[in-house]
Amino acid sequence: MAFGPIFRSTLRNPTGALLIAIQIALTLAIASNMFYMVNERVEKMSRDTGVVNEEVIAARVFYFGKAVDKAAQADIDRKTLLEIPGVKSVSYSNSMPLGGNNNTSSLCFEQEGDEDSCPHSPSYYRSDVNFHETLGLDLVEGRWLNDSDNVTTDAISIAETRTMMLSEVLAKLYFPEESALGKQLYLGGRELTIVGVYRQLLRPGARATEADHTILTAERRTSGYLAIRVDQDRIEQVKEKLEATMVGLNDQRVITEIETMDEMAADAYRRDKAMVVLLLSVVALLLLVTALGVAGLVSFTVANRKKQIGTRRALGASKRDILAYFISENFAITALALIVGSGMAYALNQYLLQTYELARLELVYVFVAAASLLFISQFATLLPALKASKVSPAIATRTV
Amino acid sequence: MFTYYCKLAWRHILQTPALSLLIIMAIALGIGASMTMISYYKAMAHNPAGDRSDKLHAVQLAAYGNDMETWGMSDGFPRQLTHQDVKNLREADLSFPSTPIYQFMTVIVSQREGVAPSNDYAGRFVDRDFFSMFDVKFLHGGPWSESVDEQPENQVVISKALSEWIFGEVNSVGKTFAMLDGIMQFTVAGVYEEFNPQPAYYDLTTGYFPREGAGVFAPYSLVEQLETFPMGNISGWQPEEVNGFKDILKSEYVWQVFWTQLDNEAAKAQYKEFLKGYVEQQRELGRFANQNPRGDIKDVETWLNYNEVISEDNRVMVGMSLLFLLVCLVNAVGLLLAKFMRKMNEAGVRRALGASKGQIFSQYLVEVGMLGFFGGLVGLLLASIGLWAVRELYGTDIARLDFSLFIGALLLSLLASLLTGILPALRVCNSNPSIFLKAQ
Amino acid sequence: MLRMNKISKVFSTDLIETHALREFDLSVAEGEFVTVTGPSGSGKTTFLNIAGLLETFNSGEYFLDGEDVASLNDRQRSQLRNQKIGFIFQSFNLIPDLDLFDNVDVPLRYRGFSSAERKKRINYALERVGLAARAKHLPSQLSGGQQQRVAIARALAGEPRFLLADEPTGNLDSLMARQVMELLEEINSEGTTIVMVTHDPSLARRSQRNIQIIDGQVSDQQQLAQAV
Ligand SMILES: Nc1ncnc2c1ncn2[C@@H]1O[C@H](COP(=O)(O)OP(=O)(O)OP(=O)(O)O)[C@@H](O)[C@H]1O
Ligand SMILES: [Mg+2]
Repeated sequence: MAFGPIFRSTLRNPTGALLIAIQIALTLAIASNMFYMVNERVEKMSRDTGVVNEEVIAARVFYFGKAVDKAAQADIDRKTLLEIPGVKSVSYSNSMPLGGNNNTSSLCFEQEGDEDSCPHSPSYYRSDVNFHETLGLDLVEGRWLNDSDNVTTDAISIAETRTMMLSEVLAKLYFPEESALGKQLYLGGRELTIVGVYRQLLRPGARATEADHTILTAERRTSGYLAIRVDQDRIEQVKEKLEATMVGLNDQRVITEIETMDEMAADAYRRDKAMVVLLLSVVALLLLVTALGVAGLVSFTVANRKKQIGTRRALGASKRDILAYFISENFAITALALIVGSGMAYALNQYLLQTYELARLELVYVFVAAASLLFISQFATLLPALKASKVSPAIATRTV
Repeated sequence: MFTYYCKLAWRHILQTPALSLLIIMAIALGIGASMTMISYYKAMAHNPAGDRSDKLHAVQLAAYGNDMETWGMSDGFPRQLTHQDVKNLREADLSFPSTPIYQFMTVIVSQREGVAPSNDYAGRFVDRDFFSMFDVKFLHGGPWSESVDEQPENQVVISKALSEWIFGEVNSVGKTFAMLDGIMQFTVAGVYEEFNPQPAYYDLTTGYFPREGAGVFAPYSLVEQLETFPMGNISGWQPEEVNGFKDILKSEYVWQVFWTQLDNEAAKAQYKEFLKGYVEQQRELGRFANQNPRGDIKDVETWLNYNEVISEDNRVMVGMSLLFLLVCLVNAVGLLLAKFMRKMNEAGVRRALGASKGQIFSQYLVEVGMLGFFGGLVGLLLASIGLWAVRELYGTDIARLDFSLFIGALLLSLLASLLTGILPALRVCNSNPSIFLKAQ
Repeated sequence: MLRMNKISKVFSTDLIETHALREFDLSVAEGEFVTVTGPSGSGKTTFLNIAGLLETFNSGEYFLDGEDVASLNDRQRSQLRNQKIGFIFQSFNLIPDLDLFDNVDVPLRYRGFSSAERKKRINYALERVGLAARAKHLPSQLSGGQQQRVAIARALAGEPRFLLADEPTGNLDSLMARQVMELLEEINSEGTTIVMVTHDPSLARRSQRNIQIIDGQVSDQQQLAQAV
């Protein structure tokens, strides 16, 4: 198509084209950043917990009575719960991935570590030795924690624990060249030996970064969270009975937040999900508004140029030529606007980067947004352009 | 003249219904989206403390060990305090009203027929000053007496709803009910109407916008003898041996908040001086072993910002929705231009018949204003739908359209539409009338 | 060159049916200069529109250069217009956003000439109407007579064999009108067939042949003496 005359003609009467261009450039700048934010959240929400999500129920357990022997009570609970059909494994822990009660501490190479020797602050789980089985964690090397890691059978806390397991990511961070097995690190000033490495276990909470920096330690008297592994088709039944069963065994406690892992994820990611829904709604509306705007402005141009279109038809333009004229005019405007818009997208991203903790926009999102905008803009032009092509050439001979 | 313009405007709107509808929708969508986000933001930015905001102060202490230079929040303070410190602050020889707070869970036994015999409720341990500091409005009775803060007694303050659930619709002051283990008896000292400020600034560690406020307030003086575990955030900077409630009390874990009321600069200065001395004293006792042991006080406004009650997400969404509004307005400019261009001939004839530029300009601005007004109305409708969606998404009850937002939305849409209308209206009234007489 | 047999054209609107042409018969030979006159509303423009393939007709036959146009689709009709027919309109119909060069360029673009060829033809056509120096001007910067000369240049640039003009002098004063007429006569003398609608009897008298349309029919064909 002949871009030269189209271009010159557009430049002489630029208002309509300019408005389309501004709209498209702004839309590109906003939409590409929004696409990016959406994708960031979706990736966050869909990351691997390390847990067999579809088989695990968790509940919070609070004791309000005095002097409860938690270890003994845990044994009773476990025995009773394992008798319920479908229950495969039961475990207590101080917290759960995506749950509450996050304990973090810096993990150091030296006892009196400064910041250099304590590069990361992982979350640590204080759990009984069934925890890995209940959650369905995968062993990468070494061994799981067992009763030998509970130093005494009685009052045990992490203060006397001598061993720990690391997530694979964390093990690689501390020992990139060699196996972490048998190495010692200091957690809050106490020396712990690494006996095993598991593939993945997410932190409690819904942190966006370093979410897989976790440590597992064994503690018999832990409490806070009860985790149960259940056959998938029995999960609802077990969930329903759980509170009554637990309170029946000991009424000095409250059982709350009885949730499947999926429900825990929904709670933990509530804000992220809300953000995704809101961003997507605004993007959808934005594209709709832009499409309607382009269609409106093109039909305005068509109405304005009726005489011109008739004349072109009289001088030998076929319907397809007229169609092509408007489509290519729109193509040129849109393409230029998209180039300007990419620059604006980066400027907006730069601003967001500085003002908020957002990551740098990747080129692919600008491409995706630009491609969809080009399609939308061309599609929106099609209808009024078709209308233009139906203008009768006889209009040329009509005075006024 | 204005009514004449209105009549003309209304006629033009009807003459180009599709275009007018598009313009109204463009304005409405922009207003709807931005009002939704602004309302939500406004609700989050609300400071429920009112004129007590610069008097109430949350107390913080950097009470951690030597290798932990930046533990806690961005300024190196944890949000909460250890029990040891709260105990010391509480017993300090100062005359300022003050209260510690922490949340617990309890079973409460009902004395009514026809409801569940017992239920779980959230409660908080506080001192007597809590009720005046946080402006709790009593329906019956009042706080427990001052002596209870020193000599623990089983007294509580409960909400009207809880009182009705336990006793039915009677004045329950002086009555007793079973709580905690379901056996221990507590006497009702006061009943309050409702207390659930949004955000729940008095204790932000258990959620910013709880759907229900605390049902029970119990004297903090009972904490050590009741041994009721906290239901909330507990953090520590080092692993510690904790086998029972007594161990938590002695630990360096932080899990309580402490508020004090400082009415003027002198009081603030005095309190800061006190904290300095306290930190020094604790240091000599072997605690606060970091390089920069210190204390701080933050008033309510500062505290809300510090806790990031308004999340980054909210700010980003407000910005994005305003950009969306901008696109909608650019859109409206184009559509208005299209709408007015079709009326160029008429404007030319009116000019030829003696209308001044100003008159044509005002005529078209009136039309734009009318479109903006309709856009604002539809936008409000969209905003209320949007706010409903936002409440569902975030699971809160806050952020509803109120009168100020209603007026704000209408003004914003009117202003926005007049701003967008200027260019198209100028185009119409500035074009030379002779153009229309010439061949196109 | 052009042969119409019993052409009828009816415009149906909500209220009335207008029979713009009824059983219209006309032949124009190659190289002729025909003027068309008649009262207002008699169907002159309608005839020209059909002759120039701008409009379809309801019944009858129309052969252009021996080709039956009824069977052609839009693309073929457009091509035919583009290659064989030149148009001159009463209100010039220059495209206001394009300068003179680009205006003359319009039909050549649709023809698909190379850019060198187009340039050569445009310059030649503009020179011919005496406006080469103003190639970069916009139509709004020209007088009516100049605009019409550009329109003629645009019609000539494609070297059509058949030139249709609807009151080309209607918006011009008599001096300008005569100049335009002389230009058309010159073109005709080079072999281009011309059909021109006019209300000006003095112009009509100058042509080889004048037909009069009354009420959608050719009322009278008369050979006019070559006027001086
Ligand atoms: N598009 C149309 N729709 C309806 N009626 C039409 C249309 N075009 C022309 N007519 C009618 O057809 C008749 C012939 O019109 P036409 O334009 O051919 O007249 P004309 O001879 O060119 O007149 P004038 O000398 O005033 O230009 C008129 O009655 C006119 O009203
Ligand atoms: Mg006519």
